[in-house]
Amino acid sequence: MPSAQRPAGDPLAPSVIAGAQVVEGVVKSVHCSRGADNEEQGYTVVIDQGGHDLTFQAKSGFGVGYSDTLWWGRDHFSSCLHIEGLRAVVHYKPSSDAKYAGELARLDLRDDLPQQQPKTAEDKTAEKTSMSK
Amino acid sequence: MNYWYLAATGEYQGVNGESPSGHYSLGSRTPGGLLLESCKMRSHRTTKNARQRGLRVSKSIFAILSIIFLASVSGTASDKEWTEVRSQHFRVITDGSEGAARRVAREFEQIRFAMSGVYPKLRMDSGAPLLVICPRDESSMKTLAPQFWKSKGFKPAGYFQHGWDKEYAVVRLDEVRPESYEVVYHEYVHSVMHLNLRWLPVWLDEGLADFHANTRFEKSRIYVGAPSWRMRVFGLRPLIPLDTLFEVTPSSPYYHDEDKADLFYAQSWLLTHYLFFGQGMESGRKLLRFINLLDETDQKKAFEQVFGEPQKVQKNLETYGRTYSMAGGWLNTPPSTDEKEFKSRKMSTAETEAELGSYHLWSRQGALARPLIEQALKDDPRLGLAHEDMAFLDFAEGKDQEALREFGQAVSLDPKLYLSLFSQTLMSPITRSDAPADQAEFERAMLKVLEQDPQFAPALVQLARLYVRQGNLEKAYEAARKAEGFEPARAGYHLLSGRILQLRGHAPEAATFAALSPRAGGALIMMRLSSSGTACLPPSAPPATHWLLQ
Repeated sequence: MPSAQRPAGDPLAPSVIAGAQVVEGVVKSVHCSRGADNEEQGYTVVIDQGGHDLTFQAKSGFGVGYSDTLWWGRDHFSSCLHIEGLRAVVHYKPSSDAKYAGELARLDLRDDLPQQQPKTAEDKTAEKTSMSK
Repeated sequence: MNYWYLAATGEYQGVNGESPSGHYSLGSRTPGGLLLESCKMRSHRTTKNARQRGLRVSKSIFAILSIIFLASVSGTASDKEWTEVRSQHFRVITDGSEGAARRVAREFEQIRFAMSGVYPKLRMDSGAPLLVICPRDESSMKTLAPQFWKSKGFKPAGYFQHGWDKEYAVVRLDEVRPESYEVVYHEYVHSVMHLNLRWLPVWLDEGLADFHANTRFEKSRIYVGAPSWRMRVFGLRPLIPLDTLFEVTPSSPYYHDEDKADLFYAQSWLLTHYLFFGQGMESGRKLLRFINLLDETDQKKAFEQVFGEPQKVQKNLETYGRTYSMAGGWLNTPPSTDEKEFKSRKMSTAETEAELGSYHLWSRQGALARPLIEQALKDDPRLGLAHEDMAFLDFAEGKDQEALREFGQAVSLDPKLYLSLFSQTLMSPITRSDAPADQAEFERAMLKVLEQDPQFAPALVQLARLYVRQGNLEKAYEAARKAEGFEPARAGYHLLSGRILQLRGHAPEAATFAALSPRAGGALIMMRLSSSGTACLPPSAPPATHWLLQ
C-alpha cells in the first residue's frame, strides 16, 4: 500500500514467540491422545506445506489461536477436531527428534474468506445489462 | 476480617447537589416516572469470611471450570421436575421454591433495569440467551458443579458461565446474602458491556462490572453504587499510580497475582465509583464521555481531556477512598419487575434433564451431560432440545454423521431450535456448493436462523461469506458490519469486514479494521502441561472469554 494511503499509527506485525520459527500450511491431520483419566496426553498436527507434510509435536504447553468466524465458534472449538483443511500458522522450535519438523509453540488457525466463484456467462450478461442502464 | 456493605435503611441523606445527568434523568425519559437521585449511602463494617476472595475467586472459578472432571456423581440435579419462571427478560429454572425463583428473576430484571437506566443506549440482550439456574441448596449445587467439591476451600454461591451460543448464571437459592450474587452480577455486567463496546481498558471493564455488581435491591428500590467489600484494602496499601493502572492488561501481574490483583480490583472499583459520583463528575456524564472518546482517542489523552491531570485525579481519589460516606443513587423499581406478573410452569422430567444436560455440555463437562441427555431422550424421544444436545455432544466427540442426524431431528421436532438449524446447515454439503439452488437454500436457512434469533451474529458471518462467494461484496460487507455491531468484542468479525473491504478495493479502510483485530481476529487459548511432563492438553477450549483473561 502506498505510504500516503496507510492509516496512521504503528504498523501491525504478527507476534512471534522468542526463539521460534514460523511456517504456514494447511492442516492435514491432527492427533490427540488421551490417558486413562481422559486427560489429553499427546498432540501432533500435520500440515501440508506446498505438497510437503510437516509434522509438529507438542512436548510442552502451547497456545492455540483460532478465528472468531469458525462456524462452531468458541463454545464448541476443539484443537483436536474439525480443524483439517484450515490454514495454519505454526510457531515451532526445532525438535531433537528427526520424526518431527518441530515442537509446537503456537498454532494459529485461520478461517480464510472463500474464493469468489467464477462468473457465469449469465452473470456477465446481467452485469453488462445493469451497467448499460 | 471486615468488609463494607450497604445499609439499606433510612440513612440516605438526599441529593448531593448535582443535578442528575442526561443519562440519569430517568424521570423525564422513562415511563413510570422513575428517578435516579444521587444520595449518600453510609458504609458499615461487618464480618464475613467468604467474601475475602470474592471476585478474584470468580476468575479461578472459570479456570477450574475449564478443567474436565470425570468425577462420578452420586445423584443428578434433575431428581425431580424443575420449575420454570419467566420474567420479561429472564428465564429462571429451579428445583427449589417458585417464590425464590421469582425473587431471583426480579433481581436480574432490576439490575438490567438499573444498567439500562444508567446507560439508556446500552444494548441489553445478547444473541446468546441467558438461562438462570437456581439450585435449591448445596447438594443440588454440587451436582451442577461438582468440581468445586473436589477440593477443600471456596464453594461458590453463584457463578456465571459465558458463552457464544448460550450463557448461564447459576445462583444457589439458600444463599440470600447480597454478596452471594455479586460474582454473578459482575459477570453479567461484563457480558452486557461486551455486547456494546469493542474495547475497554481493563481497569474500567472490571471497575464497571464491580460498580454494577454492587447494586442492591429492595422490592421497590434499586440502589446503585453501593460500597464494595473491596474497600478493606485501601487502609493497608497505597493506591496504584493511575499511569500504571491504565496500563494493566489481562496478562499483567496486577491482574494475576493474588496480592496485586486485590488492590487492582479494589482501585478499579473505587476509580469507577469516583468517576460516577465524585465531586464534579456530573453524576457519571463525564465517565460516559470518556467511554465514547475511547473509540477514537488514546486512553490517557481521553482521560486528561475529560477528567483533567491524572495526578490531580489520583490525589482526589486517595481522599475519596478514605471516606466513610460515599455517594450513591437509587431508582424506583419499575412495575415490569413485579414478581407476581412472572409466568411459571412445571417442566417435564425430560425437559429438566435436557436443560441440565445442555448446561453441562456448555460447561464442557461431557461426562456429566451424556447421562442426562440420554435419559431425556428415553423419557421423551420427541423432545427437540434433547436431540440438539445429543447432536452437540456427538459433534464434540467427532461423530459428525450422528451429529448431523440429531441436528436434523431436532429441527424437525422443534423448528425454533435455531442452533440446530444453523449447525445442520453448516455441516451439510450445500455450504460448499456452487449450485445456485444450494446457495439459495443456504441463504434461506441462515435467514430462518436470524428470524428465530435476530442477534445471532454467526449466521450473519455465514451470510457474508456466501455473498463473498457470489461476488456480491456490498451485501457481504453489510452482513459483516451487522455481525460486528452485534458482537463488537469479537475481533475476527472486524477483520472479516476489513477483508471484504480489501476485496472491494478499499485497502486503507480495510487496514483500520485490521487494527481492531488483535491475534488475527480470534481467540487464543493456552494448552497446558501435565505435571508428569507429558503433553497434556485441555481437549477443548474452555467456556468463554474468561480463559483469555486468566
